[in-house]
Amino acid sequence: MEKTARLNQVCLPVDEANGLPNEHYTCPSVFKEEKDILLFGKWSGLAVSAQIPNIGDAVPIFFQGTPLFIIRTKKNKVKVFQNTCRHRGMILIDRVKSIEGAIRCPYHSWCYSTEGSLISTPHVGGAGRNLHDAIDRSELGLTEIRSHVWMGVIWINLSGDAPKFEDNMKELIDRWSDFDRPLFHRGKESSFTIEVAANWKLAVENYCESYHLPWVHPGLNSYSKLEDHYHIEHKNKFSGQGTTVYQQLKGGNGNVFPDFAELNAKWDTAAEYIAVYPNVLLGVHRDHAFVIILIPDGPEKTYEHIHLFYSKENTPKQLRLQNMKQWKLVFEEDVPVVEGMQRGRHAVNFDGGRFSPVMDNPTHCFHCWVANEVQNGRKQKN
Amino acid sequence: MDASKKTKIDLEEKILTAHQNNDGIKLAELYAKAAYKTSNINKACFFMVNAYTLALECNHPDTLSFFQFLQKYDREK
Repeated sequence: MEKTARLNQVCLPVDEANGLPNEHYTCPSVFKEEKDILLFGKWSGLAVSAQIPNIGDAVPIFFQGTPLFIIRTKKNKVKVFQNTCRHRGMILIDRVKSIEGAIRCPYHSWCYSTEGSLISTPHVGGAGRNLHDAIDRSELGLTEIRSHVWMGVIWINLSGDAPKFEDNMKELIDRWSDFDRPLFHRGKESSFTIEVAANWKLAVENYCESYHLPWVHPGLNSYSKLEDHYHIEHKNKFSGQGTTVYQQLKGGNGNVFPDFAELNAKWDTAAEYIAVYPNVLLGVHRDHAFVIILIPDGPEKTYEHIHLFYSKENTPKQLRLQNMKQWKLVFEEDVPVVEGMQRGRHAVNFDGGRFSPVMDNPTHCFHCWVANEVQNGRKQKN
Repeated sequence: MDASKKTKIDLEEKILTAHQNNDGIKLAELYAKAAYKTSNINKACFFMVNAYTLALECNHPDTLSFFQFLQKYDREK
């Protein structure tokens, strides 16, 4: 079957559709295509703003091979820049550091403000001369990457042409407006990383649906049963699941995390888990939230960077550690099935699989988004 | 060896040591010292460019005066 026909098959109604073809999970050239269309062309999760809590903090990050750095500027804004000097392309920030004054290129010492302006060009006009008519500093600031901070995540749009984040994600921002307030991250007690030998999309697919809970997460299913879950689907943007029986974690002495302020009564027992396309998985509860940023490393490996957030700066450390342990267990329970699906994608006769018309709708929603976007991207290229 | 030559050598050694120690603040101050010591404007500006650059990086309190030195000779704006 032709590539186009196979992708058309994905976007059929859920009871007729097949999943994405194998090549979308195993083929380096399709991976690159999806990187350009889905990861660079849309709003992708890069990091969390908690990684740069203080003014001047800067962290270099390679995002799909592209050198970037995140920085908290002197004006206390989070910005993302391409990590290259406008002179000879030298990497500017080579390690996590605090910028005291200017960002100085280690090669010929061109200096940039934390806001990205080129402020000095030492000896550019000859020894002892920082000026030359051909060097217009106003045109040679750092290359800023479009970015937006929401739910503690630094989202970037590398292609620069996606709709504004607030417009693009309006439905979800509105849906979760109760959580649009300060989220407190507790450094190492709030973050961990899981390496998965699988394509990044399989982590999204698995996260979207509750169908697997009874089998893969029997602990969760003991109180949050399959029938207590509902689908969340917003075509072309996000999908996931919710539960109506969220129970707060309790410490040894019965203590719980404080709730976020002024929550709607719905959240007394509800929790929602949404995959924001392409690569961010979010979870919200009355007393904490989490984000998982999926960073692909080639077609068959993914790093899941997990961050937990709380409603207040000071929460019981023991409870935080207990919470991290609990979520780590849950997310690690998913690893064998996600990796198993990856190995399955090498079966030459696997046709992308079928979907449960009742249980797999959010996963189908994601497949359909990928198929549509890839088709559109291919059309634009040709 | 005359005193001025010895002072120059001392200063050069201190600059090299500060480079090895990656001590930006010290370096900025030593380069500024070198700039103020010479009556040759081009040499002074060379040293002051280095002083100013390092001062910018480490947010040295004398950054503005280094800038003004260079600005005076039309070497920075």
